[in-house]
Formats: sequence, C-alpha cells, structure tokens
Amino acid sequence: MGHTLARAGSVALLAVIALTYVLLNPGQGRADHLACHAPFRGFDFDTFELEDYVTGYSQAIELASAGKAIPPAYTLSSGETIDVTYQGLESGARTARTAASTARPIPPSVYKSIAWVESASGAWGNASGSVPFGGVGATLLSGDCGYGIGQITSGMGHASVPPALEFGVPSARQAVIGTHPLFNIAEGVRILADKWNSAPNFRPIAGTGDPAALEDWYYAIWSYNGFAFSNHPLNPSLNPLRGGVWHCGDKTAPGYGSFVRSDYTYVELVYGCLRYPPAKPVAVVSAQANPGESVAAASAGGPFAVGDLVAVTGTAPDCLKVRPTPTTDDGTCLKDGRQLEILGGPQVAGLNSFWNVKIASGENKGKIGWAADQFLTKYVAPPPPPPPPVIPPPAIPPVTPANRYWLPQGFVIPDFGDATVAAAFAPQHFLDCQDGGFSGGCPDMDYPTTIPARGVTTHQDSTPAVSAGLVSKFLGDPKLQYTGPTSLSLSVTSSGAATNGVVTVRNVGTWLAPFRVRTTADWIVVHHPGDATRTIDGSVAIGAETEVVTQQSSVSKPRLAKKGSDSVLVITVNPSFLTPGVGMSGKVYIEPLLGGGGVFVIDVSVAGGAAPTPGLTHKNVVPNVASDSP
Amino acid sequence: MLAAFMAVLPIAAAIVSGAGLRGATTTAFATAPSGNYAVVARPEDDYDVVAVALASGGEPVEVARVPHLRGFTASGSVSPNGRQLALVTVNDGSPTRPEASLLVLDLESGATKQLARAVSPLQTALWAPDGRSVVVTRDVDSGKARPDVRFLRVSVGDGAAAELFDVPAPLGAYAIGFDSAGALFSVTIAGSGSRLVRNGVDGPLLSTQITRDWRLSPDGAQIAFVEVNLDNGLRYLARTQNVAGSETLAVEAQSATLASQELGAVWKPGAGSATFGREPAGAARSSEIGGVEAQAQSAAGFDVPIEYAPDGSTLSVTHWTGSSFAQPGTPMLQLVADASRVDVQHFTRFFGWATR
Repeated sequence: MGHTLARAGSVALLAVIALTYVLLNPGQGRADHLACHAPFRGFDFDTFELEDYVTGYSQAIELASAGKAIPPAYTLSSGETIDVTYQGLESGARTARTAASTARPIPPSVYKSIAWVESASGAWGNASGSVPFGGVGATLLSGDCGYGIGQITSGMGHASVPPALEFGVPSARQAVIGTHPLFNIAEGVRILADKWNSAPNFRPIAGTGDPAALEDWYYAIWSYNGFAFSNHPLNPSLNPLRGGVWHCGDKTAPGYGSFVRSDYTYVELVYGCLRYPPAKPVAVVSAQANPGESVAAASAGGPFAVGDLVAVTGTAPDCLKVRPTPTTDDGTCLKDGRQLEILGGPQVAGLNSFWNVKIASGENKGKIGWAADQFLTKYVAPPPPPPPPVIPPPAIPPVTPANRYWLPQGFVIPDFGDATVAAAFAPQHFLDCQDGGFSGGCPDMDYPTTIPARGVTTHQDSTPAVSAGLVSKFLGDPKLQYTGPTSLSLSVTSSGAATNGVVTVRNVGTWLAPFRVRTTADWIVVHHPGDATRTIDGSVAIGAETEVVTQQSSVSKPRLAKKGSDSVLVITVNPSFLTPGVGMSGKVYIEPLLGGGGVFVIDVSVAGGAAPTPGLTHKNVVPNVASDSP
Repeated sequence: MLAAFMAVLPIAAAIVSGAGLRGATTTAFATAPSGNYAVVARPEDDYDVVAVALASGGEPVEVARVPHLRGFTASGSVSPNGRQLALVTVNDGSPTRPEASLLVLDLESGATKQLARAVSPLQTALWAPDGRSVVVTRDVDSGKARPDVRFLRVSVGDGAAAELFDVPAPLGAYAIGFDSAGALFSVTIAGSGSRLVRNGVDGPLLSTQITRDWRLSPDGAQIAFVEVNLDNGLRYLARTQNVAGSETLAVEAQSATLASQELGAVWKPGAGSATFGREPAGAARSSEIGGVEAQAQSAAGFDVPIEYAPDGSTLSVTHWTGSSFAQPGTPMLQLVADASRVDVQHFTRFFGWATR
C-alpha cells in the first residue's frame, strides 16, 4: 500500500513528525495510529481463516498463553529478525516482585476473552468478514489499523516501535503478525504480558500480583485497551447498576436485553466474556486439515471434529484396539477411560467407522492409529471445582459450561464494598497515576483481591493444560516456490492502461506459508487478479494437504473447498508515479517469513527512453542492503 | 482498510439517505393526538429503534432507526419544543476505539442529519433553551496524559460549531444545563473531585469525589447530584447545593450526611427540592429529599427517576426488580403518574419528553 506514498523528503519529514510525536507521548503508542490514518493507512495483508475456528483459535491461544506457540527468534536473509517469543511474566506483590519467567502462563481464558472482545464480530476471526471460515483473504483490519484476531496496533504502525521497514513497507515482524494467525495471537499475548509486567514500576497491582489469579489481571486488561478514565469502573457516564460485568451476549446472563456492549468498560467486557463465554455457533464445520496428515484422513465429518478429545468407553472387560490402518486387525489395546485425540476420519472399513486418532494420555501417548467409533465418546472435562462460598460481596453466578467457546471462569470483580478497594479507585489516585506517566507504578491504586473478612478470594483458570505437541499443527512445514518471470518490461499506453506480469507463489510444503511483498519504487504495484483496490504487502500460500474453503456452506449454498491455495500476484504500474518519457526500473521482492524457500526477485522496468533510473531511497533504510540485491 | 471502510459505509449511507431527506415523509408522531410522549429507544445489534410512547399507555410508535457500530447504542435528548432529538452515536472507528457523531433527528419526519463528527462517545447532548443549538464535547489531543475536553455549541440549522471553552485534561467534563439567564453549567471531574463550572469559569467544588446524575433545578439556582462516595466502601449519596449569585457561584453545602444510597436526580416542576431514587432499605428517609412518589406503588424493587414531563404529571423511571443496588434485578422503563404506572415494553432507553 505504501507504494502510493511519496518518499524521499516528505517521508523524512513525516518520520521526524511521527518520531517527535512518539517522544512527546511516551507510553501512549499513538504514533502507531498516526501512521494509520490518511494519507497513510494499514498494510494490505492476507491471511488464512481457520475453518474450525472455535477449536483452532482456542488451541492457538492456549499455546501462545503458555509460551509454546512460536519458534525462537529467527533471522531472515534480509537480516531482519522475527521475534514474537513469549517473554514470560513477573510475579509477586510490589515489594516482592520476581523476574519474568516463561514458566508462568497467562490464564488462557483471559486472552480468549480479549480476542473475542477485540474481534467484536460475533465470532473469532483473523480475516475480514468477507473471507469464509477456512478461506484465504484480507486480514481483519480496523479503522485504526488493528490487525487480525488480536487487533494488534502496537508495533504495527509505520513509525511505531519497532518501526516498519520504511514508511509504507512493513517489517518482516509486522508482516508475519499481519498474515499468520498464530503469530498474531502470540503478539497479542506478548502485549498483554507486557501490560502485566508494567507493574509495579508503571502500573498498579491488583491483589498480590499473582498471574495465576484471574482477579489480579484487572489492571493489565485495563491497560490492553488504554489506561484511560473511560475504562474507570466509576465513570459517571455509565449506569452504576449495570452489573459487574458484561453479559457477552449470553441471553441467560444478568443485564442481557437491558444493557449493551458500550454500557461497560473494556475490563468489564473482558471479564464478562470470561464469566459468560459466548455460545458456539450452531453448526461448526469441522474439516480443518491437520498438517502432516493425509487430507482423506482429516476431511470427513461425523460426531467428532479434528482436535476433539474422545474417551474409550464400553469395552470393559476388554479393550479398544488402536490399529495402524482401519483394515488391520492388530494394534495397541486401550482400556476404558483412556483419552484419544481425533486427527481425522471417519473411514468405513467392514461394518465399522474408524477414526484416525492419537493416544492422548498414559502409555503409548502420542501413538497414532485408527479406532472404531462405537467405543468412543466425546471426552467431557470434569466441571471446574465449585468456587468457595463468599459472603455478600460480588457473587459468582453459576454458569452452564455446555456449548461455549471456552469454560466459564469463576472470579470476583473488585469488591467496592471494601473500603481499601474503593479507595484505590479515587479520582485523585487515578489522576496522579496518569499525570505521572505511570512512573512509580501508582501504588495508591493497588488493591487487595483476597479479603478474608469478606470471604473474597482469588480464582484460577480451569482450562486444562495444552499439549505443546499441538504447535506443529499451527506452524506446519511451509516452503515457498515461485512461478513467473524474474524480469518484466512493462509499458503504459497513451490511455493510461498498463501492462502487467503475473507471479504465482505456491507452498510446496505444508500448512500456511506467510510471505512479504515489497517493492523498491512507488510506481510498482502488486495486487491480486481482479482486485486492484488492495496493493499487497503480505500474503499466504496454503499447502496442498490443507483444504481451503472457497464458499462457505449456507442454507442455499454448499460448502466448496479445494486443496491448497496459491497466491497469484499481478505486478503492474501506477502511471501516476511515472515521469513521462523517462524509463524507470525497480524490483519486487517476495520473501518468505517462515519456513523454507528463497527470496524471489523480479526486475521491473517501464519503457520511456534511456533516462537514468531515479534515485531510490530504499537502500538507506533497508537493513543490510548494499545493492538492489536482497 | 477496505474492510474497515466497508464496515462503516452502511452507516454513512443510512445517515446520508435519512428519511427526512426524502421530503414528504412523516412519522406517526406528526399526527399523534395531544399528550405527553416519552421518547424512548431500544438498542438492536447495529441500530437503535427510536419510538414515542404516550404517557398514559399504549404501544410505543416507532419513529426512526439510527444505525451505529455493532454493540453500541446512542444517547439522546429531546429539544425544548419536543420536536427534535439530538443523538450522540458511535458510527465510526472500531468497537474498542469508537468514534461518535452528533445527529439530530426530526421526530415528525424521521429525518436524520449529521451535525458534527468526532465528538466524545460517552455523553448526552444538551439543548440550548432556544432549541437552536446543542452543546457537546470533543476530546482534543493536548499532548498531555489526557485530552483536553472542548465544549462546542453546534447549530442545529447548519451544523456550524462554535468553540465555547476548553477544559484542560480533566478526567471528565459534562454539560449539565442552562440557567434562566442562559448561562451554561458543566461539571468537571479532576483529581480534586467534582467542580461546578459556569460558562467555562470554575465555580465551587461540589465534592472531593466523583459525582454523577447532575440536574440543575428549573430556575438554575440549585444543583442536585449523586456523590460516588469512597470514604468507607462505595456508596452513592444524594446531594443538593444552592448556587447563589450568578457571578460568585456561592454554594451552600447540604449539611445532612445521608446514610442511605440514592441514584438519579430529578426536579419536579414547581417543587423546591429534588427527587432521588433510593435503595429500598432506606425508603423511610425518602421524604427528606423528596423520594420517588411512585415508589410506594410498586410492591417490590425500587425506582431510579429519570425525568418529569414538563407539566409534572408523569415521571419516567427505571424500575428495578431487585432489593438493593448490589442486587438490582432487572430494569424496566416505566412512566409513573399519581395513579398509574405504565411499562414501556421492549424499550430500555429514555431520551426525554415530547409534548403535543
């Protein structure tokens, strides 16, 4: 997109303005937004939207929240480093804070709620609403340049910290966050962890600063949206009887039908969805292919979905065989109660339907095979332990866990009936905190989340621990391959029409291959066929083992899907940036952001005579580039 | 980016193509029989249904639908002549970073006109006594920790906005009313508490706490409000103060320290004291500050008053079915007269009274 921007002097001036703005507004992060608005705008990224988005994004969030999602920092051939690794959490009260540790996870339900509130479309989504679940298309992008399921703004602006490669050209880090849902989620988790770790030096502490306590996340969640008075629970513009938290669309929850989302603070929205997780869609299509597994094994429907945990039942005193193939007779025998993960199926063999499974617990854990479905039932996690009884202060209402995006979490909202808690929210304390630039960490706003005299105590996330092995499902083994010219001579007719060339980017590996597209000149435009409105800054190619939905099923339309998805790029010219009669040349770089495959470079020239190529400024800002070679 | 643009396009289109621009359209309200009408609204997913409900009962009649971002709802206030509705509605930005506009809706034609953009989302527009302009606020980036709040007087005729004054980096600043001399009163909340402001000039401190539910008395001589008291746990305490002297803003602090909690503040036309809605446990004290007359008519629950009809015959309230502010139960919008209590079914927001 940024190729429509005038560079050189104007860019330098704007950069100075933006950086000045950053310096004048520490901690506000507004430079991110400054660069978003006209004449700047968000980068045009594509992404892949998971088809089984409830299970998929849930698992991705659990992985990211535990710091298990993303590979260690790695460096691309351009010299840029992509580091979206989990930094871990500090712990402890103001006077007994311990250093950050990656062994401390973020309660995954907290970020699940944040992702729900941020996507705000009635479903988790990393792509824009026009993209079918299971399809490829434009990344969700809000008006203020929030990207993807985490609506990431921090660090995604042209002049943000860390910055774009240059104005209009995303850094590799920005591009992978904008294109790959797992990286987007991981970055959101990093930002939340950063908010948590801002205490005690730059944020107050709720409770004892125990990251395992849901109640202690109050200020970190507040900070995720902006530590502004609009999110103060005593904001006089809000109805004081609205209830402690949002109903999150739960028709059985208090406040439903009377209050809407905008009647609550951001913190109350997030805690509301924590307590009342949204209902799953009526029919979730469960055809998410599993990288590394055969498509045939992973593409069918039935009572189970890929990723489901099932349990062996009804075999006692015998056992259930997990066979190498549906037609073989021997295998590993599992007693009732053993858990299996569904990888695909079913396939019919003889009189039985068989599911491709992985042993998920006990002996032979991780072993893959096939199991007959009449002895499998969906594993139902034991209900969370009942919350301890509390005296009058904020009650924890019972919430039915069935058919929700995630398990409802019990917690206590700040107990304003307690004098210490109430005093922490006094306007002077908030103002002192904000006016001081949060320096000193606003100790006057600290408040207890455990108040024995009132029966108030903290609660932990009841989400079962996630298996780190799941990460391969979300990273796959991508490898890019390119088809198309490495040299293009383009021309513009007198009517202004430009010729073009086409490059096809294919993922010959598996799963999702994100890549960046950048050009060295404003006049070179890269878009998808039939859509010149978006100038592509990053996209994805999907491996042939993965089903990509091209038409979502509805009452009137069947689901249509294909194996894999190439990214087709049209390289052409924006005549308005050309100098009449002057020939110009530049390059297009297509650079993988994860996995294998080299950088593809297309030399582009446009006819116009023998005039010299205008001086390009990109060499000054692209790291480690001493020539036009990447 | 395109997606974001497309997301708000229907909203922009709906505003631009408002029914009133089609000229001859009239609403049922234009030919409704005489009486007091409550202008009410019901938030739907991405629009509000605005309707009028006769105080004596009957089905509310829809007047217009006002689009907004998904999950939001507009705030509204009815013009002094009861024919127009000023709305502050979020129709741009994103759900987590909303941007609001000021609209004016003609209740008789259903026509909607956008008067100003980029106004503060969480506010209710205040009509000037002559009905020719409305006062709204806008956040202005000041380079400080918080934005300044700019008070604007926006002409209903042509949308021209006159800057009245700025409040530097407050926690909140709210237009609350005009006195009989046409002076604009507002309240600023800052670290020191809540301060009354007259025509942009600081007046007396109302409280060292956050305050809310401010209402000027009809003659502008007193202000009723609720103090969000944090001295010993959160308590909502009713307060009234005299505003004596138009220049000096001398204030007589109410001496009584009230033990019970109250919310909502209204002035009955002709009455010398304000009315608040009290938690049931404190109902015995209601006479001290007026109380809600209709409260006694409801067997259970409590009322939070919203606004008296201009003739004082009917009071709009939010009736809560619960037993306390901590357990308020379910709210219902009701219109309460001496001998009647009418549910405004399916509507939850009250924007003001329109008398025909």
